[in-house]
Amino acid sequence: MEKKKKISTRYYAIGTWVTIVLVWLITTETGLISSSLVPSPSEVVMTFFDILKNGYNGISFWRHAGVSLSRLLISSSLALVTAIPLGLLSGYFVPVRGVVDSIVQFYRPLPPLAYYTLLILWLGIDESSKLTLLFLAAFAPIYLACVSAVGNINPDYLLSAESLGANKKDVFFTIVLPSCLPEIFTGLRTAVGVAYTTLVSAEMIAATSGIGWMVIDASRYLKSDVMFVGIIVMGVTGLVIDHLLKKLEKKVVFWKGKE
Amino acid sequence: MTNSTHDEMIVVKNVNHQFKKQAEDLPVLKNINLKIAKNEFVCVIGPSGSGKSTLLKILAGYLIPSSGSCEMHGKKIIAPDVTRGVVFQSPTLYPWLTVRRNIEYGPRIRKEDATVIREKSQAYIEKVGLADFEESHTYELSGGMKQRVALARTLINEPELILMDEPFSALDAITRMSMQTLIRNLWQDSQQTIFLITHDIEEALKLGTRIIVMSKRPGQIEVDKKIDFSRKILSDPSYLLEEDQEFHEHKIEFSKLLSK
Repeated sequence: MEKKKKISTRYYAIGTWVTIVLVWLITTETGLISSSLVPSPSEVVMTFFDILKNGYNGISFWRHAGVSLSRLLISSSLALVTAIPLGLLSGYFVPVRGVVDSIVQFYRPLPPLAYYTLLILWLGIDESSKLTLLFLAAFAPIYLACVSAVGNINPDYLLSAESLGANKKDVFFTIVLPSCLPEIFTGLRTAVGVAYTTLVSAEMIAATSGIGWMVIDASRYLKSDVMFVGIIVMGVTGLVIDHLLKKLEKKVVFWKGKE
Repeated sequence: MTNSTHDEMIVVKNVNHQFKKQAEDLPVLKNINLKIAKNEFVCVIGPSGSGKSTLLKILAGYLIPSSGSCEMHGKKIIAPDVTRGVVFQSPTLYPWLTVRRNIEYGPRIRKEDATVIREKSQAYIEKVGLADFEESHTYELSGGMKQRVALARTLINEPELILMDEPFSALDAITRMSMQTLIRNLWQDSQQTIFLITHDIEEALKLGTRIIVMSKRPGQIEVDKKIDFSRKILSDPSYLLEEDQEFHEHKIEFSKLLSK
């Protein structure tokens, strides 16, 4: 049953994309839409290979992509190692939750660009302000997932562990942490997604490299083909990252949804 | 120290318990006095809301009674520990561990020797009839098998007292019967002391050496009676419980008490 469902959504997805590309192909190749607004697929493919070969603005494609991905990776990892302990602590101790929660709930709905200008003012225009911005974006979802995960632990897991001889420390590492892993993973996937969208904002202001910067720079010169390449690369990279995280999730929290 | 003697493992004295419910207190247990000796198999029956589970939680150390005392070997029970094993109504197996790792949880926590742990877990896996399933994940098991794992996980710690809260109520009739036989044999082999809550009068008669009937809220001990059907079953293979007139008389008597 489930397998059948999966296949049919995949067919619909493929169908959707074939249609989009077909419409794109027809409207551009026939000259219905000017190529300075929407470049044709062939132009985009050619530009892509050109950037792959010669780079953009004297910097190779891989350098642009690498810079963006390393920003994403460093900030997400930082968020992960800080948000998990703080989130679990908040779930456990009401005073900690009172302090951290109020701060997180205040900044979470703010548009990242609003406080990014402040971060630049304080930390300068180099990497540290960008990493801080992405870190803040990624921190909230992981933190909130941890707080909620602690609240959702089956209380009988904790009681049975204690009756089996576990002390508080054992309970934390052998019961609380693994029980929270499924929700932590969901939080992590959301966090990486949020950080990824914030990344582009960060690279729009004060940057000289990165995929996001490439799109912004191209827009100044109306290079719509480069913008298309940048956006498609970002979209595909986002999908690949989420797919890899999903695969990792399946391996690490193999019991999720099977209890 | 109190006046507990050797054969009184558990002494519950004048225990009252209330749940805080908004402004007023909801009394759940009233004036409970109870002594449990080693190797007894105590079965507790009573209508829902009679405080059976609350009493079990107090014995386990999960709850501290509002008043009165609860002691094991003369020492106050204030927190759960490994000397009192608990089997829950729905097995609380850890899904991130295999069957074997679930059973080995206690010994591993205590950092016992690895080869000893392995030998012990193998022995208990066989005792509860889970051979060939030791590397399975818990979510792959049926309800009865899960409860066997929960049982083995508790037994491997060799607790002095095993507390069970309606452990078989979620199982189908056939599985329940095989679990009852299993628990009776395990009790016989290990000379353990068991405190089992059930809502099934027949189950209580088949397993216990003693039946405690609790009243409606606030729960009080209404009847405390020694029985010997499980010893008869164990000592005489030709004994048929269904043909024992006394068994039926007891059943009717307890049914009347419960439907009052």
